[in-house]
Amino acid sequence: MDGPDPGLGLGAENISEFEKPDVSGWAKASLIMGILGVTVFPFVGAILAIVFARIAKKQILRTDLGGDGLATAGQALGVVGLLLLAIGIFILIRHESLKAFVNDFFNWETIKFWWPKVGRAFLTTLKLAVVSEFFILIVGLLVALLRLSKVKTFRVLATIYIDVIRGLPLILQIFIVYFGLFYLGLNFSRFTSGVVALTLCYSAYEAEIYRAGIESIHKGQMEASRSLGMTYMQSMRYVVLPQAIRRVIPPLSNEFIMLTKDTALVAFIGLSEAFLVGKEGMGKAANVTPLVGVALFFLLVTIPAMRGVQYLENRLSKGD
Amino acid sequence: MNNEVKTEPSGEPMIRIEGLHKKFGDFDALKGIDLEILPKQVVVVVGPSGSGKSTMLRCVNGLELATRGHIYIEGTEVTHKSTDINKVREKVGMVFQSFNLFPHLTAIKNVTLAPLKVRKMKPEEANEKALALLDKVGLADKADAFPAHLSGGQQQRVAIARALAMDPDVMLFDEVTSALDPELVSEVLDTMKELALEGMTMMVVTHEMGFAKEVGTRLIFMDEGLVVEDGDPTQIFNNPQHPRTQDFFSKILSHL
Repeated sequence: MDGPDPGLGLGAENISEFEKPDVSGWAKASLIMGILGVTVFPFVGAILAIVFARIAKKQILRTDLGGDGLATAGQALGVVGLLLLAIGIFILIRHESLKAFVNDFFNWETIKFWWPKVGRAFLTTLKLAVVSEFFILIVGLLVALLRLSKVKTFRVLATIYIDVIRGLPLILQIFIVYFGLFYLGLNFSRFTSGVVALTLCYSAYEAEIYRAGIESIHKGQMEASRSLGMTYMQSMRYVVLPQAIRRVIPPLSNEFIMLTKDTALVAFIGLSEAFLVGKEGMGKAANVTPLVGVALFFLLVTIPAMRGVQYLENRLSKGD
Repeated sequence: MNNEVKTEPSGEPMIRIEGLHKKFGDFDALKGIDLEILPKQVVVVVGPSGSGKSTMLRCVNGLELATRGHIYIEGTEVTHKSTDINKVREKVGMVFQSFNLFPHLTAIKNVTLAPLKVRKMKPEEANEKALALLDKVGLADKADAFPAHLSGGQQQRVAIARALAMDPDVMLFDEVTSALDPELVSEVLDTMKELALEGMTMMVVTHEMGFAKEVGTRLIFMDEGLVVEDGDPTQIFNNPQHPRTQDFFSKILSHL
Protein backbone atom coordinates (compact mmCIF):
# COMPACT_ATOMS: atom_id res chain seq x y z
CA MET A 1 0.00 0.00 0.00
CA ASP A 2 1.35 3.39 -0.97
CA GLY A 3 -1.03 5.49 1.11
CA PRO A 4 -4.65 6.50 0.83
CA ASP A 5 -5.97 7.22 -2.61
CA PRO A 6 -6.90 10.91 -2.50
CA GLY A 7 -9.84 10.36 -4.83
CA LEU A 8 -11.42 7.63 -2.74
CA GLY A 9 -10.26 8.35 0.78
CA LEU A 10 -13.68 9.24 2.14
CA GLY A 11 -15.07 6.00 3.56
CA ALA A 12 -14.47 4.79 7.09
CA GLU A 13 -13.02 1.49 5.78
CA ASN A 14 -10.14 3.42 4.26
CA ILE A 15 -9.19 4.97 7.54
CA SER A 16 -9.30 1.66 9.35
CA GLU A 17 -6.60 0.33 7.04
CA PHE A 18 -4.09 2.88 8.20
CA GLU A 19 -4.96 3.56 11.81
CA LYS A 20 -5.43 0.95 14.45
CA PRO A 21 -9.17 0.98 15.29
CA ASP A 22 -10.32 1.60 18.83
CA VAL A 23 -11.09 -1.52 20.79
CA SER A 24 -14.67 -1.95 21.95
CA GLY A 25 -15.03 -1.29 25.67
CA TRP A 26 -17.55 -4.09 25.98
CA ALA A 27 -14.98 -6.55 24.60
CA LYS A 28 -12.43 -5.51 27.21
CA ALA A 29 -15.05 -5.78 29.95
CA SER A 30 -16.03 -9.23 28.70
CA LEU A 31 -12.45 -10.48 28.91
CA ILE A 32 -11.99 -9.11 32.41
CA MET A 33 -15.27 -10.67 33.56
CA GLY A 34 -14.24 -13.93 31.94
CA ILE A 35 -11.00 -14.02 33.92
CA LEU A 36 -12.85 -13.19 37.13
CA GLY A 37 -15.49 -15.79 36.25
CA VAL A 38 -13.03 -18.67 36.24
CA THR A 39 -11.20 -17.45 39.33
CA VAL A 40 -12.59 -15.40 42.19
CA PHE A 41 -16.02 -14.39 40.96
CA PRO A 42 -17.78 -17.54 39.74
CA PHE A 43 -21.19 -17.67 38.08
CA VAL A 44 -21.95 -13.92 37.97
CA GLY A 45 -18.58 -13.18 36.40
CA ALA A 46 -19.04 -15.91 33.82
CA ILE A 47 -22.58 -14.78 32.96
CA LEU A 48 -21.47 -11.18 32.61
CA ALA A 49 -18.54 -12.22 30.41
CA ILE A 50 -20.95 -13.96 28.03
CA VAL A 51 -23.43 -11.06 28.03
CA PHE A 52 -20.71 -8.41 27.49
CA ALA A 53 -19.22 -10.50 24.68
CA ARG A 54 -22.58 -10.54 22.88
CA ILE A 55 -22.97 -6.80 23.21
CA ALA A 56 -19.38 -6.27 22.04
CA LYS A 57 -19.85 -8.48 18.98
CA LYS A 58 -23.04 -6.64 17.96
CA GLN A 59 -21.30 -3.32 18.45
CA ILE A 60 -18.29 -4.45 16.38
CA LEU A 61 -20.61 -5.55 13.59
CA ARG A 62 -22.37 -2.16 13.50
CA THR A 63 -19.32 0.07 13.86
CA ASP A 64 -15.70 -0.29 12.85
CA LEU A 65 -14.43 -0.85 16.38
CA GLY A 66 -11.90 -3.67 16.93
CA GLY A 67 -11.72 -6.30 19.67
CA ASP A 68 -13.61 -9.22 18.16
CA GLY A 69 -10.87 -11.58 19.33
CA LEU A 70 -11.07 -10.22 22.89
CA ALA A 71 -14.83 -10.71 22.93
CA THR A 72 -14.48 -14.30 21.73
CA ALA A 73 -11.91 -15.00 24.43
CA GLY A 74 -14.20 -13.50 27.09
CA GLN A 75 -17.10 -15.59 25.82
CA ALA A 76 -15.01 -18.78 25.89
CA LEU A 77 -13.79 -18.07 29.43
CA GLY A 78 -17.37 -17.47 30.48
CA VAL A 79 -18.46 -20.85 29.16
CA VAL A 80 -15.49 -22.62 30.73
CA GLY A 81 -16.29 -20.87 34.03
CA LEU A 82 -19.87 -22.16 33.96
CA LEU A 83 -18.71 -25.69 33.10
CA LEU A 84 -16.16 -25.72 35.93
CA LEU A 85 -18.82 -24.51 38.30
CA ALA A 86 -21.22 -27.25 37.16
CA ILE A 87 -18.59 -29.95 37.59
CA GLY A 88 -17.65 -28.56 41.02
CA ILE A 89 -21.27 -28.64 42.15
CA PHE A 90 -21.71 -32.15 40.74
CA ILE A 91 -18.66 -33.41 42.66
CA LEU A 92 -19.76 -31.68 45.86
CA ILE A 93 -23.32 -32.96 45.97
CA ARG A 94 -22.90 -36.32 44.18
CA HIS A 95 -19.63 -37.46 45.67
CA GLU A 96 -20.92 -41.01 46.03
CA SER A 97 -22.09 -41.23 42.40
CA LEU A 98 -18.69 -40.11 41.15
CA LYS A 99 -17.01 -42.82 43.15
CA ALA A 100 -19.47 -45.33 41.72
CA PHE A 101 -18.75 -44.05 38.24
CA VAL A 102 -14.99 -44.53 38.63
CA ASN A 103 -15.55 -47.96 40.17
CA ASP A 104 -17.64 -49.03 37.20
CA PHE A 105 -15.70 -47.53 34.30
CA PHE A 106 -12.14 -47.36 35.61
CA ASN A 107 -11.96 -50.01 38.33
CA TRP A 108 -8.27 -50.36 39.13
CA GLU A 109 -8.37 -54.05 40.07
CA THR A 110 -10.27 -54.85 36.89
CA ILE A 111 -7.88 -52.76 34.80
CA LYS A 112 -4.91 -54.68 36.17
CA PHE A 113 -6.45 -58.06 35.45
CA TRP A 114 -8.49 -57.52 32.28
CA TRP A 115 -6.87 -54.83 30.13
CA PRO A 116 -3.78 -56.97 29.33
CA LYS A 117 -6.13 -59.79 28.24
CA VAL A 118 -8.18 -57.36 26.19
CA GLY A 119 -4.97 -56.00 24.66
CA ARG A 120 -3.88 -59.46 23.57
CA ALA A 121 -7.32 -60.12 22.09
CA PHE A 122 -7.10 -56.80 20.28
CA LEU A 123 -4.12 -58.21 18.40
CA THR A 124 -6.51 -60.82 17.00
CA THR A 125 -8.86 -57.98 16.05
CA LEU A 126 -6.08 -56.22 14.18
CA LYS A 127 -4.91 -59.42 12.52
CA LEU A 128 -8.48 -60.12 11.36
CA ALA A 129 -8.76 -56.59 9.93
CA VAL A 130 -5.38 -56.64 8.18
CA VAL A 131 -5.72 -60.13 6.68
CA SER A 132 -9.26 -59.35 5.49
CA GLU A 133 -8.20 -56.00 4.03
CA PHE A 134 -5.41 -57.72 2.08
CA PHE A 135 -7.97 -59.92 0.30
CA ILE A 136 -10.55 -57.12 0.03
CA LEU A 137 -8.14 -54.85 -1.86
CA ILE A 138 -7.56 -57.61 -4.43
CA VAL A 139 -11.11 -58.96 -4.71
CA GLY A 140 -12.59 -55.45 -4.73
CA LEU A 141 -10.39 -54.43 -7.65
CA LEU A 142 -11.25 -57.59 -9.58
CA VAL A 143 -14.98 -57.04 -9.03
CA ALA A 144 -14.62 -53.41 -10.14
CA LEU A 145 -12.87 -54.50 -13.34
CA LEU A 146 -15.61 -57.06 -14.02
CA ARG A 147 -18.21 -54.38 -13.34
CA LEU A 148 -16.55 -52.20 -16.03
CA SER A 149 -15.95 -55.07 -18.45
CA LYS A 150 -17.17 -54.93 -22.03
CA VAL A 151 -18.54 -58.46 -21.57
CA LYS A 152 -22.14 -58.12 -20.47
CA THR A 153 -22.22 -61.38 -18.47
CA PHE A 154 -19.32 -60.19 -16.30
CA ARG A 155 -20.97 -56.82 -15.80
CA VAL A 156 -24.28 -58.37 -14.76
CA LEU A 157 -22.66 -60.88 -12.39
CA ALA A 158 -20.58 -58.17 -10.73
CA THR A 159 -23.61 -55.92 -10.37
CA ILE A 160 -25.71 -58.68 -8.80
CA TYR A 161 -22.91 -59.51 -6.36
CA ILE A 162 -22.47 -55.87 -5.35
CA ASP A 163 -26.20 -55.25 -4.94
CA VAL A 164 -26.90 -58.41 -2.95
CA ILE A 165 -23.99 -57.91 -0.58
CA ARG A 166 -24.72 -54.24 -0.02
CA GLY A 167 -28.35 -55.07 0.60
CA LEU A 168 -27.64 -57.37 3.56
CA PRO A 169 -26.59 -56.75 7.17
CA LEU A 170 -22.99 -57.79 7.81
CA ILE A 171 -23.92 -59.82 10.87
CA LEU A 172 -26.23 -61.94 8.71
CA GLN A 173 -23.46 -62.54 6.20
CA ILE A 174 -21.08 -63.60 8.97
CA PHE A 175 -23.59 -66.13 10.28
CA ILE A 176 -24.45 -67.46 6.83
CA VAL A 177 -20.80 -67.94 5.94
CA TYR A 178 -19.81 -69.53 9.24
CA PHE A 179 -22.78 -71.88 9.66
CA GLY A 180 -23.18 -72.36 5.92
CA LEU A 181 -19.64 -73.62 5.60
CA PHE A 182 -20.08 -75.70 8.76
CA TYR A 183 -23.17 -77.51 7.50
CA LEU A 184 -21.45 -78.02 4.15
CA GLY A 185 -18.94 -80.06 6.09
CA LEU A 186 -16.21 -77.49 5.65
CA ASN A 187 -14.58 -77.10 9.02
CA PHE A 188 -13.23 -73.60 8.70
CA SER A 189 -11.91 -71.95 11.85
CA ARG A 190 -13.79 -68.99 13.26
CA PHE A 191 -10.94 -66.73 12.18
CA THR A 192 -11.00 -68.01 8.60
CA SER A 193 -14.79 -67.71 8.44
CA GLY A 194 -14.47 -64.16 9.72
CA VAL A 195 -11.95 -63.35 7.01
CA VAL A 196 -14.18 -64.91 4.33
CA ALA A 197 -17.30 -63.05 5.48
CA LEU A 198 -15.58 -59.69 5.86
CA THR A 199 -13.87 -60.07 2.48
CA LEU A 200 -17.14 -61.02 0.84
CA CYS A 201 -18.89 -58.00 2.32
CA TYR A 202 -16.30 -55.27 2.10
CA SER A 203 -15.14 -56.23 -1.41
CA ALA A 204 -18.53 -55.11 -2.70
CA TYR A 205 -18.16 -51.66 -1.14
CA GLU A 206 -14.54 -51.24 -2.16
CA ALA A 207 -15.35 -52.40 -5.70
CA GLU A 208 -17.70 -49.43 -6.00
CA ILE A 209 -14.97 -47.10 -4.75
CA TYR A 210 -12.47 -48.51 -7.24
CA ARG A 211 -15.06 -48.20 -10.00
CA ALA A 212 -15.73 -44.54 -9.21
CA GLY A 213 -11.97 -43.93 -9.20
CA ILE A 214 -11.44 -45.62 -12.55
CA GLU A 215 -14.40 -43.80 -14.10
CA SER A 216 -13.05 -40.48 -12.86
CA ILE A 217 -9.98 -40.85 -15.09
CA HIS A 218 -10.58 -39.01 -18.35
CA LYS A 219 -11.25 -41.39 -21.25
CA GLY A 220 -8.53 -39.62 -23.25
CA GLN A 221 -6.01 -41.46 -21.07
CA MET A 222 -7.27 -44.84 -22.19
CA GLU A 223 -7.48 -43.65 -25.81
CA ALA A 224 -3.95 -42.27 -25.83
CA SER A 225 -2.67 -45.48 -24.32
CA ARG A 226 -4.58 -47.71 -26.72
CA SER A 227 -3.47 -45.61 -29.71
CA LEU A 228 0.14 -46.47 -28.77
CA GLY A 229 -0.65 -50.14 -29.32
CA MET A 230 -1.08 -51.09 -25.67
CA THR A 231 -3.81 -53.61 -24.89
CA TYR A 232 -6.81 -52.81 -22.68
CA MET A 233 -5.21 -54.62 -19.75
CA GLN A 234 -1.83 -52.93 -20.24
CA SER A 235 -3.54 -49.54 -20.45
CA MET A 236 -5.49 -50.27 -17.26
CA ARG A 237 -2.41 -51.45 -15.43
CA TYR A 238 0.12 -48.81 -16.45
CA VAL A 239 -2.03 -45.76 -17.23
CA VAL A 240 -5.51 -45.79 -15.66
CA LEU A 241 -5.08 -47.71 -12.39
CA PRO A 242 -2.00 -45.85 -11.12
CA GLN A 243 -3.99 -42.62 -11.41
CA ALA A 244 -7.27 -44.08 -10.14
CA ILE A 245 -5.74 -45.77 -7.10
CA ARG A 246 -4.06 -42.55 -6.05
CA ARG A 247 -7.50 -40.94 -6.00
CA VAL A 248 -9.19 -43.71 -4.02
CA ILE A 249 -6.59 -44.09 -1.27
CA PRO A 250 -8.51 -41.81 1.14
CA PRO A 251 -11.94 -43.48 0.69
CA LEU A 252 -10.35 -46.94 0.79
CA SER A 253 -8.59 -46.01 4.02
CA ASN A 254 -11.93 -44.94 5.48
CA GLU A 255 -13.35 -48.34 4.55
CA PHE A 256 -10.41 -49.95 6.32
CA ILE A 257 -11.23 -48.03 9.49
CA MET A 258 -14.87 -49.14 9.24
CA LEU A 259 -13.69 -52.71 8.69
CA THR A 260 -11.52 -52.56 11.80
CA LYS A 261 -14.55 -51.57 13.85
CA ASP A 262 -16.82 -54.15 12.20
CA THR A 263 -14.48 -57.02 13.12
CA ALA A 264 -16.20 -56.86 16.52
CA LEU A 265 -19.22 -58.52 14.89
CA VAL A 266 -17.19 -61.69 14.41
CA ALA A 267 -17.44 -62.08 18.20
CA PHE A 268 -20.94 -63.41 17.53
CA ILE A 269 -19.57 -66.59 15.98
CA GLY A 270 -17.31 -66.96 19.01
CA LEU A 271 -13.96 -65.61 17.83
CA SER A 272 -11.98 -64.40 20.84
CA GLU A 273 -11.22 -60.94 19.62
CA ALA A 274 -11.22 -57.82 21.77
CA PHE A 275 -14.97 -57.32 22.05
CA LEU A 276 -15.74 -60.90 23.06
CA VAL A 277 -12.98 -60.93 25.68
CA GLY A 278 -14.13 -57.54 26.95
CA LYS A 279 -17.70 -58.80 27.21
CA GLU A 280 -16.55 -61.87 29.11
CA GLY A 281 -14.53 -59.60 31.42
CA MET A 282 -17.56 -57.41 32.04
CA GLY A 283 -19.53 -60.48 33.13
CA LYS A 284 -16.83 -61.76 35.46
CA ALA A 285 -15.73 -58.48 37.01
CA ALA A 286 -19.29 -57.17 37.18
CA ASN A 287 -18.27 -53.78 35.86
CA VAL A 288 -17.83 -52.18 32.46
CA THR A 289 -14.09 -51.49 32.80
CA PRO A 290 -12.99 -54.28 30.41
CA LEU A 291 -15.19 -52.83 27.66
CA VAL A 292 -13.77 -49.37 28.34
CA GLY A 293 -10.39 -50.99 27.71
CA VAL A 294 -11.66 -52.36 24.40
CA ALA A 295 -12.89 -48.88 23.48
CA LEU A 296 -9.52 -47.35 24.31
CA PHE A 297 -7.66 -49.91 22.19
CA PHE A 298 -9.94 -49.21 19.24
CA LEU A 299 -9.49 -45.45 19.59
CA LEU A 300 -5.74 -45.91 19.85
CA VAL A 301 -5.84 -47.26 16.29
CA THR A 302 -8.84 -45.53 14.69
CA ILE A 303 -8.19 -41.92 15.69
CA PRO A 304 -4.61 -41.76 14.34
CA ALA A 305 -5.87 -43.56 11.22
CA MET A 306 -8.62 -40.99 10.70
CA ARG A 307 -6.14 -38.15 11.14
CA GLY A 308 -3.86 -39.90 8.68
CA VAL A 309 -6.63 -40.12 6.08
CA GLN A 310 -7.37 -36.43 6.54
CA TYR A 311 -3.71 -35.62 6.00
CA LEU A 312 -3.63 -37.77 2.86
CA GLU A 313 -6.77 -36.11 1.52
CA ASN A 314 -5.29 -32.65 2.01
CA ARG A 315 -2.04 -33.63 0.34
CA LEU A 316 -3.70 -35.35 -2.61
CA SER A 317 -6.13 -32.51 -3.23
CA LYS A 318 -3.19 -30.09 -3.38
CA GLY A 319 -1.39 -32.39 -5.79
CA ASP A 320 -4.21 -32.34 -8.37
CA MET B 1 8.31 -22.25 -44.21
CA ASN B 2 8.50 -22.72 -47.95
CA ASN B 3 7.10 -25.04 -50.54
CA GLU B 4 10.22 -26.30 -52.26
CA VAL B 5 11.07 -29.06 -49.81
CA LYS B 6 7.82 -30.99 -50.04
CA THR B 7 8.56 -34.67 -50.50
CA GLU B 8 6.95 -36.45 -53.42
CA PRO B 9 4.35 -39.07 -52.56
CA SER B 10 5.05 -42.49 -54.00
CA GLY B 11 4.07 -46.16 -53.99
CA GLU B 12 1.07 -48.17 -52.83
CA PRO B 13 -1.55 -46.41 -50.72
CA MET B 14 -0.60 -46.18 -47.04
CA ILE B 15 -4.25 -45.81 -46.04
CA ARG B 16 -7.23 -46.89 -48.08
CA ILE B 17 -10.74 -46.01 -46.94
CA GLU B 18 -13.70 -47.57 -48.78
CA GLY B 19 -17.31 -46.59 -48.24
CA LEU B 20 -16.79 -45.63 -44.60
CA HIS B 21 -19.99 -44.97 -42.68
CA LYS B 22 -20.24 -44.10 -38.99
CA LYS B 23 -23.44 -43.64 -37.02
CA PHE B 24 -23.75 -42.34 -33.47
CA GLY B 25 -27.26 -43.47 -32.58
CA ASP B 26 -29.42 -41.79 -35.20
CA PHE B 27 -26.77 -39.30 -36.21
CA ASP B 28 -24.81 -40.04 -39.38
CA ALA B 29 -21.32 -38.73 -38.70
CA LEU B 30 -19.79 -40.24 -41.83
CA LYS B 31 -21.88 -40.99 -44.90
CA GLY B 32 -19.53 -42.85 -47.21
CA ILE B 33 -15.90 -41.80 -47.33
CA ASP B 34 -13.57 -43.10 -50.05
CA LEU B 35 -9.93 -42.07 -49.81
CA GLU B 36 -6.49 -43.30 -50.71
CA ILE B 37 -3.53 -41.78 -48.94
CA LEU B 38 -0.11 -42.40 -50.40
CA PRO B 39 3.12 -42.67 -48.43
CA LYS B 40 4.72 -39.31 -47.57
CA GLN B 41 1.53 -37.38 -48.28
CA VAL B 42 0.65 -34.69 -45.79
CA VAL B 43 -3.12 -34.64 -45.95
CA VAL B 44 -4.75 -31.70 -44.28
CA VAL B 45 -8.40 -32.25 -43.42
CA VAL B 46 -10.53 -29.16 -42.96
CA GLY B 47 -14.22 -28.46 -42.66
CA PRO B 48 -16.82 -27.01 -40.33
CA SER B 49 -17.23 -28.55 -36.88
CA GLY B 50 -19.42 -31.63 -36.94
CA SER B 51 -18.37 -32.46 -40.49
CA GLY B 52 -16.84 -35.78 -39.37
CA LYS B 53 -13.11 -34.94 -39.64
CA SER B 54 -12.15 -36.23 -36.21
CA THR B 55 -14.48 -39.21 -36.48
CA MET B 56 -12.79 -40.26 -39.70
CA LEU B 57 -9.37 -39.96 -38.05
CA ARG B 58 -10.51 -41.97 -35.05
CA CYS B 59 -11.91 -44.69 -37.31
CA VAL B 60 -8.52 -45.04 -38.99
CA ASN B 61 -6.84 -46.32 -35.81
CA GLY B 62 -9.93 -48.06 -34.51
CA LEU B 63 -10.77 -45.70 -31.64
CA GLU B 64 -14.21 -45.59 -33.25
CA LEU B 65 -15.66 -48.70 -34.90
CA ALA B 66 -16.87 -48.19 -38.45
CA THR B 67 -20.59 -48.83 -38.88
CA ARG B 68 -20.00 -49.88 -42.50
CA GLY B 69 -17.10 -49.85 -44.94
CA HIS B 70 -13.46 -50.87 -44.88
CA ILE B 71 -10.20 -49.25 -43.86
CA TYR B 72 -6.84 -50.68 -44.84
CA ILE B 73 -3.49 -49.58 -43.48
CA GLU B 74 -0.55 -50.87 -45.49
CA GLY B 75 -2.82 -53.58 -46.84
CA THR B 76 -4.09 -54.76 -43.42
CA GLU B 77 -7.81 -54.32 -42.93
CA VAL B 78 -8.35 -52.35 -39.71
CA THR B 79 -12.08 -52.94 -39.84
CA HIS B 80 -11.80 -56.74 -40.00
CA LYS B 81 -12.77 -58.66 -36.88
CA SER B 82 -9.75 -60.96 -36.86
CA THR B 83 -7.24 -58.13 -37.22
CA ASP B 84 -5.16 -57.49 -34.10
CA ILE B 85 -5.95 -53.80 -33.72
CA ASN B 86 -3.02 -53.36 -31.32
CA LYS B 87 -0.59 -54.43 -34.06
CA VAL B 88 -2.12 -51.89 -36.44
CA ARG B 89 -1.95 -49.13 -33.85
CA GLU B 90 1.77 -49.65 -33.42
CA LYS B 91 2.15 -48.35 -36.96
CA VAL B 92 -0.28 -45.47 -36.54
CA GLY B 93 0.72 -42.68 -34.20
CA MET B 94 -1.97 -40.35 -32.91
CA VAL B 95 -1.81 -36.94 -31.26
CA PHE B 96 -4.88 -35.48 -29.57
CA GLN B 97 -6.37 -32.05 -29.05
CA SER B 98 -6.22 -32.46 -25.27
CA PHE B 99 -2.62 -33.85 -25.28
CA ASN B 100 -3.60 -36.78 -23.02
CA LEU B 101 -0.14 -37.11 -21.53
CA PHE B 102 -0.03 -39.56 -18.64
CA PRO B 103 0.06 -37.17 -15.66
CA HIS B 104 1.61 -39.67 -13.25
CA LEU B 105 4.67 -40.19 -15.45
CA THR B 106 7.56 -37.86 -16.32
CA ALA B 107 7.99 -36.71 -19.92
CA ILE B 108 10.57 -39.39 -20.66
CA LYS B 109 8.48 -42.13 -19.03
CA ASN B 110 5.50 -41.04 -21.15
CA VAL B 111 7.69 -41.67 -24.17
CA THR B 112 9.22 -44.97 -23.05
CA LEU B 113 6.07 -46.64 -21.72
CA ALA B 114 4.77 -48.16 -24.96
CA PRO B 115 8.21 -49.22 -26.29
CA LEU B 116 8.89 -50.95 -22.94
CA LYS B 117 5.52 -52.67 -22.58
CA VAL B 118 4.54 -53.32 -26.19
CA ARG B 119 7.90 -53.73 -27.92
CA LYS B 120 9.59 -55.18 -24.81
CA MET B 121 12.49 -52.87 -25.52
CA LYS B 122 15.43 -52.86 -23.08
CA PRO B 123 15.18 -49.93 -20.63
CA GLU B 124 18.54 -48.41 -21.65
CA GLU B 125 17.63 -48.60 -25.31
CA ALA B 126 14.17 -47.11 -24.73
CA ASN B 127 15.62 -44.29 -22.65
CA GLU B 128 18.24 -43.48 -25.25
CA LYS B 129 15.64 -43.39 -27.97
CA ALA B 130 13.23 -41.31 -25.89
CA LEU B 131 15.95 -38.76 -25.14
CA ALA B 132 16.74 -38.51 -28.84
CA LEU B 133 13.05 -37.94 -29.60
CA LEU B 134 12.65 -35.37 -26.84
CA ASP B 135 15.71 -33.64 -28.20
CA LYS B 136 14.13 -33.67 -31.65
CA VAL B 137 11.04 -31.87 -30.34
CA GLY B 138 13.32 -29.50 -28.39
CA LEU B 139 12.57 -30.80 -24.89
CA ALA B 140 15.60 -32.87 -23.90
CA ASP B 141 15.99 -30.65 -20.83
CA LYS B 142 12.42 -31.43 -19.71
CA ALA B 143 12.86 -35.21 -19.73
CA ASP B 144 12.27 -35.55 -15.99
CA ALA B 145 9.46 -32.98 -15.74
CA PHE B 146 5.92 -34.08 -15.00
CA PRO B 147 3.24 -32.97 -17.49
CA ALA B 148 1.70 -30.59 -14.95
CA HIS B 149 4.92 -28.59 -15.00
CA LEU B 150 5.00 -28.21 -18.78
CA SER B 151 3.23 -25.60 -20.91
CA GLY B 152 0.52 -26.74 -23.33
CA GLY B 153 2.90 -26.46 -26.26
CA GLN B 154 5.54 -28.48 -24.45
CA GLN B 155 3.01 -31.13 -23.47
CA GLN B 156 1.87 -31.44 -27.05
CA ARG B 157 5.46 -31.82 -28.27
CA VAL B 158 6.03 -34.57 -25.68
CA ALA B 159 2.85 -36.21 -27.01
CA ILE B 160 4.33 -36.12 -30.51
CA ALA B 161 7.58 -37.66 -29.25
CA ARG B 162 5.55 -40.31 -27.45
CA ALA B 163 3.74 -41.26 -30.65
CA LEU B 164 7.00 -41.31 -32.62
CA ALA B 165 8.61 -43.69 -30.13
CA MET B 166 6.69 -46.58 -31.68
CA ASP B 167 8.21 -45.81 -35.10
CA PRO B 168 4.84 -45.28 -36.78
CA ASP B 169 4.45 -45.24 -40.54
CA VAL B 170 1.51 -42.82 -40.34
CA MET B 171 0.79 -40.00 -37.92
CA LEU B 172 -2.72 -38.75 -37.18
CA PHE B 173 -3.10 -35.25 -35.74
CA ASP B 174 -6.53 -34.42 -34.33
CA GLU B 175 -6.81 -30.63 -33.92
CA VAL B 176 -3.58 -30.67 -31.97
CA THR B 177 -3.25 -26.89 -31.67
CA SER B 178 -6.89 -26.07 -30.88
CA ALA B 179 -6.43 -26.22 -27.11
CA LEU B 180 -3.24 -24.15 -27.12
CA ASP B 181 -2.71 -20.51 -26.29
CA PRO B 182 -2.05 -18.64 -29.57
CA GLU B 183 1.61 -17.96 -28.79
CA LEU B 184 2.27 -21.69 -28.29
CA VAL B 185 0.77 -22.85 -31.58
CA SER B 186 3.83 -22.26 -33.76
CA GLU B 187 6.21 -24.42 -31.72
CA VAL B 188 3.91 -27.40 -32.26
CA LEU B 189 3.36 -26.62 -35.95
CA ASP B 190 7.12 -26.30 -36.45
CA THR B 191 7.64 -29.75 -34.99
CA MET B 192 4.97 -31.12 -37.31
CA LYS B 193 6.52 -29.40 -40.29
CA GLU B 194 9.88 -30.93 -39.49
CA LEU B 195 8.23 -34.33 -39.40
CA ALA B 196 6.56 -33.71 -42.76
CA LEU B 197 9.88 -32.73 -44.29
CA GLU B 198 11.36 -36.02 -43.13
CA GLY B 199 8.76 -37.77 -45.25
CA MET B 200 6.28 -38.89 -42.59
CA THR B 201 2.83 -39.76 -43.91
CA MET B 202 0.43 -37.51 -42.04
CA MET B 203 -3.28 -36.88 -41.71
CA VAL B 204 -3.84 -33.54 -40.05
CA VAL B 205 -7.23 -32.28 -38.92
CA THR B 206 -6.71 -28.60 -38.27
CA HIS B 207 -8.03 -25.07 -38.51
CA GLU B 208 -4.53 -23.69 -39.19
CA MET B 209 -4.87 -22.65 -42.80
CA GLY B 210 -1.30 -21.33 -42.92
CA PHE B 211 -0.04 -24.80 -42.06
CA ALA B 212 -2.36 -26.35 -44.63
CA LYS B 213 -0.98 -24.12 -47.35
CA GLU B 214 2.69 -24.34 -46.46
CA VAL B 215 3.11 -27.94 -45.31
CA GLY B 216 0.12 -29.80 -46.73
CA THR B 217 0.61 -31.72 -49.96
CA ARG B 218 -3.08 -32.40 -50.24
CA LEU B 219 -6.19 -30.81 -48.82
CA ILE B 220 -9.46 -32.50 -48.11
CA PHE B 221 -12.56 -30.47 -47.37
CA MET B 222 -15.30 -32.31 -45.51
CA ASP B 223 -18.88 -31.32 -44.84
CA GLU B 224 -21.77 -33.27 -43.32
CA GLY B 225 -19.89 -36.56 -43.27
CA LEU B 226 -18.67 -36.46 -46.87
CA VAL B 227 -15.51 -35.45 -48.70
CA VAL B 228 -16.60 -32.45 -50.73
CA GLU B 229 -13.31 -31.39 -52.27
CA ASP B 230 -9.91 -33.06 -52.53
CA GLY B 231 -6.78 -31.69 -54.17
CA ASP B 232 -3.80 -29.37 -54.00
CA PRO B 233 -4.10 -26.99 -51.02
CA THR B 234 -3.06 -23.82 -52.83
CA GLN B 235 -5.42 -24.51 -55.70
CA ILE B 236 -8.36 -25.16 -53.41
CA PHE B 237 -7.60 -22.01 -51.42
CA ASN B 238 -7.36 -19.86 -54.51
CA ASN B 239 -10.10 -21.47 -56.48
CA PRO B 240 -12.52 -23.60 -54.46
CA GLN B 241 -14.92 -25.46 -56.74
CA HIS B 242 -17.77 -26.55 -54.51
CA PRO B 243 -20.16 -23.89 -53.13
CA ARG B 244 -19.78 -25.25 -49.58
CA THR B 245 -16.01 -24.98 -49.80
CA GLN B 246 -16.33 -21.46 -51.16
CA ASP B 247 -18.66 -20.55 -48.32
CA PHE B 248 -16.34 -22.06 -45.68
CA PHE B 249 -13.23 -20.31 -46.96
CA SER B 250 -14.99 -17.00 -47.44
CA LYS B 251 -16.01 -17.18 -43.77
CA ILE B 252 -12.63 -18.09 -42.32
CA LEU B 253 -10.45 -16.13 -44.75
CA SER B 254 -12.38 -12.90 -44.35
CA HIS B 255 -10.63 -12.48 -41.01
CA LEU B 256 -7.09 -12.86 -42.37
